[in-house]
Amino acid sequence: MSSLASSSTSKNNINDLVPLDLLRLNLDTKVIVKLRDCRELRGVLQAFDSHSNLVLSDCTETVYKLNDVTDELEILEKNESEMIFVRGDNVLLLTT
Amino acid sequence: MSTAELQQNTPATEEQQQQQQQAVPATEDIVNTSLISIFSFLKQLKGKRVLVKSHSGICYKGRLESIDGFMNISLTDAIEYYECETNGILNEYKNEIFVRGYGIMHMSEL
Amino acid sequence: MLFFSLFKTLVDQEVTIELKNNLKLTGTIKSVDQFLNIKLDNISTPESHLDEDGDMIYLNNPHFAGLKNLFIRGSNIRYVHLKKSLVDCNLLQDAARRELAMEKREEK
Repeated sequence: MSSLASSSTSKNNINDLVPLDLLRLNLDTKVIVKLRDCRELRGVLQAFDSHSNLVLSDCTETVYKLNDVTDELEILEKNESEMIFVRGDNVLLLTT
Repeated sequence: MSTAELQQNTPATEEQQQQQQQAVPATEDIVNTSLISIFSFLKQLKGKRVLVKSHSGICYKGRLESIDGFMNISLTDAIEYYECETNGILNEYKNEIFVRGYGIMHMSEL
Repeated sequence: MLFFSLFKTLVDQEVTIELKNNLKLTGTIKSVDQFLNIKLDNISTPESHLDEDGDMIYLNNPHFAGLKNLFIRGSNIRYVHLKKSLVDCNLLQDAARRELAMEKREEK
């Protein structure tokens, strides 16, 4: 853990929710993950860690591309994967 | 009246109290005190509406639910837009969102 | 450590690794370390990377052609596609919960 967290949370209640608790509560439910390079994943969250590495099952990846002319988002690719590990440094945002 | 008494009589702010409680005798922690006060400042934003800007220029406005030492945050009733709200809202998130701390540039109370 | 443990259980199994430069490699995991660096053996290229004649397309990475095994630095990985049958979902979810609880306790 970072020193920032460990040195300053000494009087924190252990029951205080941290952002990663949101991931914990969404385990085994369908989530939407936005990644770098205009990528989006939709799948069932199976695991995560503090680097926000993730494992998703029954996952659909959508790659978007911004059309320079019409200024609209286009779908470039769609891929399916039955089980996918996502490295945390790609993750920008996660929601349900 | 001595300065000590004066200090006793002035009601200490919550942050001062926090810092007093966290005051650690070890010298190596002196470097850390500024970090602690920054983090406790961020924790005070919990429950308030905040504006978060990321390195990519995407901004989020929402209610700060929680924050951790990586500056990961979770927001409720969040909206997403690029650089400026007049550019149009890209997304409105009905559910709580988790934003990874690594990409966050700054955060402020609204 | 959760994902390190996961990948240790996948040693000698076939996976497809997608790198941040869009290269996809299918191969057998030979070893893995705590940074999730991965040694991949018997590399083949997934169908989407083959042209009509069945030759590999290595677009911007012609120097990858003909490689049989590879050490991949963990930071270059975007995705690892796994087979569902190789992963126990319930075990994984419990491990994730346990790891978070452990980290929170340590912080305290």
